Amino acid sequence: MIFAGVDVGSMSAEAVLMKDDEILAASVIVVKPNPVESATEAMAVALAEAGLSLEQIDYCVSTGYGREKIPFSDHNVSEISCHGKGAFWADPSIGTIVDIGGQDCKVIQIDAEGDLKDFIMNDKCAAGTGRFLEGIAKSFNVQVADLGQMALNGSDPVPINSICTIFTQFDAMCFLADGRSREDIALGVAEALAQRVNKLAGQVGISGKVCMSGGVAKNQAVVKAMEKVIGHPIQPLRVDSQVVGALGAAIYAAERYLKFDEVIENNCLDKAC
Amino acid sequence: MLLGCDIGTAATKAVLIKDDKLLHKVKVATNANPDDALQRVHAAFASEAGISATVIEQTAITGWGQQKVSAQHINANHMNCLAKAAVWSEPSARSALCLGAQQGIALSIGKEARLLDYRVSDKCANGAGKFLDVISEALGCTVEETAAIAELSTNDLSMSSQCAVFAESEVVSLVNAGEPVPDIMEAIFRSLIKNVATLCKRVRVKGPLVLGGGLMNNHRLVAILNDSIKTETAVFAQDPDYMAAVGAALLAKRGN
Repeated sequence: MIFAGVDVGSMSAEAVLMKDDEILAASVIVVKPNPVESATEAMAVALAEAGLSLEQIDYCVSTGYGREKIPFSDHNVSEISCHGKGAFWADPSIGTIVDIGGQDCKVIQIDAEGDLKDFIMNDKCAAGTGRFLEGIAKSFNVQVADLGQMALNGSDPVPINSICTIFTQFDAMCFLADGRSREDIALGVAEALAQRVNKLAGQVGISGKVCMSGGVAKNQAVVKAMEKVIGHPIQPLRVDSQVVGALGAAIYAAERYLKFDEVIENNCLDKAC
Repeated sequence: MLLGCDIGTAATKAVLIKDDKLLHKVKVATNANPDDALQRVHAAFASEAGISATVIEQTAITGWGQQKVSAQHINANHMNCLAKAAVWSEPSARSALCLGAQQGIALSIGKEARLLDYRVSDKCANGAGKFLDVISEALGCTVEETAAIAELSTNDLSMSSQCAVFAESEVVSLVNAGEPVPDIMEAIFRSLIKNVATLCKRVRVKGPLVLGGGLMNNHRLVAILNDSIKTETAVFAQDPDYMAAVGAALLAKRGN
C-alpha cells in the first residue's frame, strides 16, 4: 500500500511517499507560480526517487496552499494538523511543534495521539518567518542555507530593531556599512527571529517536548537561539524538518484509507447480522 | 547660500537655498553610506550647477543618516524641518504628512510653523515607500509606472493582506487567477492609503495638509488619499521628495 502526502508552501513544496509506515521517498522543490504545478512537480520528484508512478499511489492527502485544488489528491488536511502528525510520527514524545516556513510561523500543540490540540500562527505580519532570512541572504549574496553556519561563527550579535521583515534587510545593509561582520549580522538576525517567534509561543504556551519543523529549522543558529529564548531544549527529529508537513499528510492518507477499510468491513458485518 | 540635506534610508535629497528661494536640488542613492552620499551631493552640485562647496555658508542635515555624517554640519530636527518646509510651501499649512521609504510621519503645525504634535509609523512597511517597491517588483513594473497602471482600474478588488510580504504573494496569486493588473494595483494603493489615513487621524490633521515624501509624486495615491481623509491637501511645491531637505535648509538659515 503506497500513501502519499504533498505540502505546498510559499517558498518550497514537498512530497513524501510511505509504505508500511516507513518513508519510501521525500522531495523538496522550489515553488512554481501556482500550487497545482508545485504539487505535481514535488510528487513527480518523489515518485522518480521511489521508482513509482502516480497510479501506484493508493491514497494521497494534500496540505498547504491550494490544498483543495490538487487534482491527484484524494483528500486535504490543514498544514497545522499535518505538521503535528508528522512530528509525532518522528518522535511520539513531542508535545509542541514550532514550525517556521517561508512566510509563516506557527506554534502547534498536539495531544498524546499526535492530533491537534491548540495552535497560534502569524496571520497579519511576516515578522519571524523564513522571509527574515531570505532578505539577509539576498543582501549577503549567499544561499539562505549557508546563513546558519555563518551565524554560528558569529560572536557578538548585532541588535535588529526593525519589526517589519522588509526593513530588516536595510538594517543588515547598515551594519555592513558600519563594518560589522556578516557572521555577527547573521547571528543577530537568527536571535531576532527567535524572539519574534517566542512572542507567538508565549500566547499558546509550551507543553511536552519541543521540536521544530519547516525550512528555517535547518538553520542551527535559529534552533540554538530558540532554545535560549523559550527555555526548552529543541528535540532533533529523525526526518528532514522541511518535509514534516508532507509526512503528516502521508500519515493522514494512511489513517484515512485504513479507516475506510474499517467502515466497509463494519457495514458488511452489519448487513450479515 | 544654504545647503539642506535629507539623508533617507533609500535616497539622499539635497537643496541649495538663497533668500528662501530654491536654487538647485539633487537626489542620490544613500547606499547605507551617508558620508559618501553627501560627497556625491557636492559633486553633483559642482557638475550640474557649477556650485562649489566653498560658497555654501551652512549645511544642515536631517533624516536617518544625520548622526552618521562626519563633515562639518548642523543637525536639523526632522519634525521641525517638515513643519518649516510645509509652511514655506503653503503659508496657511496646518499639518503635514511625509511618506518616506521606511516610515510615515504626520504632524500638526501651529502659528509661525511651530510643531504641535506628530506621529511616526515605522513598524510596518505598508504605508511607506518600501511597500510599493516590493509590489512593483512582484508585478514587474517600476514604481514610477504604478500610478498610470492603477488609473486603468475598472473593478474594485479587495486585498486581504496588509503585510508587504503577504501582499506580494497575494498579488502573484491574483495575477495567476486572471485578475487585471490595474485592479490589483488600485487595491494595493487603497491598502497603503488606509494605513496612511490612520496615521493622519492619530494627529487629527487639518487642512491645508502639505504632502511630502517620494510617494506623494504618485498622483493616483494622492487622489485616493484625498478621497479617504477629506481634508484640503497641497502637494509640496517643486517636488515632494525634497520636503525635509528644504526644511533643513530653512533651519540652517536660523542657525538652529
